[in-house]
Amino acid sequence: MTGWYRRLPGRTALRVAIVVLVVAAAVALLLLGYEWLGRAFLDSGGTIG
Amino acid sequence: MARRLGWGLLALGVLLGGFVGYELWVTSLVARHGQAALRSELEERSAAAVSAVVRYEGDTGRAAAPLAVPAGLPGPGEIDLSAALESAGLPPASSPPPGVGEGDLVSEEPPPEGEAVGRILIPVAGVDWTVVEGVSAADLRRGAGHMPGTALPGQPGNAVISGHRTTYGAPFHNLDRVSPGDLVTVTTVTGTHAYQVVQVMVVRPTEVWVTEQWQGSWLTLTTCHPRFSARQRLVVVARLIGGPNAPALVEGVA
Repeated sequence: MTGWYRRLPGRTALRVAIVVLVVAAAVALLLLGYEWLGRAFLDSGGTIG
Repeated sequence: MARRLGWGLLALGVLLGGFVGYELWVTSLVARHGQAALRSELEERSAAAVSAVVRYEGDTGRAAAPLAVPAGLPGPGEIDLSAALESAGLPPASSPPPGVGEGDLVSEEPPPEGEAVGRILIPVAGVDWTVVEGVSAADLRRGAGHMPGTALPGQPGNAVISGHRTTYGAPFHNLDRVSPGDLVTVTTVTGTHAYQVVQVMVVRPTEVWVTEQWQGSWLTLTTCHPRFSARQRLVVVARLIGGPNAPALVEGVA
């Protein structure tokens, strides 16, 4: 993990910004995945048709 | 190798725990927030602006409901409705407002999608939710949703309301506790409409006949079945037995 961080370009501020962006994107993707899984298999809302 | 496997299993556990937490708690918070907003909207929905008294022209163009009412279930005119609603912990059904003649209906304009339609109460199933207009994924995140194009509660036809069983506050989590004879009320701007459950069934999600418009006035509730699965649908069908439009729509109700 630290190796990946050290390979990032730029100064510390830029590296931190990149890490924040990557983590935010990963969390967003994870929640989208949870949402899709939940709707497809667990509970679609009970609609007909 | 063992260390990698351990980390992998740990990550999988965190992902699965996150999934359960998201589905059960995060979605419930979203629904609670949506309900608070819908309740305010419902209070602001003005009866004068969206309702009107119209002549009821009859059940033209609609087929009879393809349902078998269980033998022994008391008919709409054979129930002491006020006492039954009170003992079930439900509000009294509204009477027709002054100026509504025999054979007249208090009609209502459907709200725009995403806005509040009314409040549904089913004490035996622990249901007390504000209903939103629409059944899209976004609509159902806020509560039970009224299917656009179907009758509004208390109006002629079949009012279809769908709701989550497990996620987003699970409005219909205990809908399987409902049985024929149980009472349901839906309060809209035109008043409180009382329904009597006549049938509970499990169907496939593609069985659209349950959403068709039938003669008389019906309420159809749909949710996923069994719990924690979207494989089938639990459907509860109820008939109107009281409310401002019952004298015009229901035989035996004066």
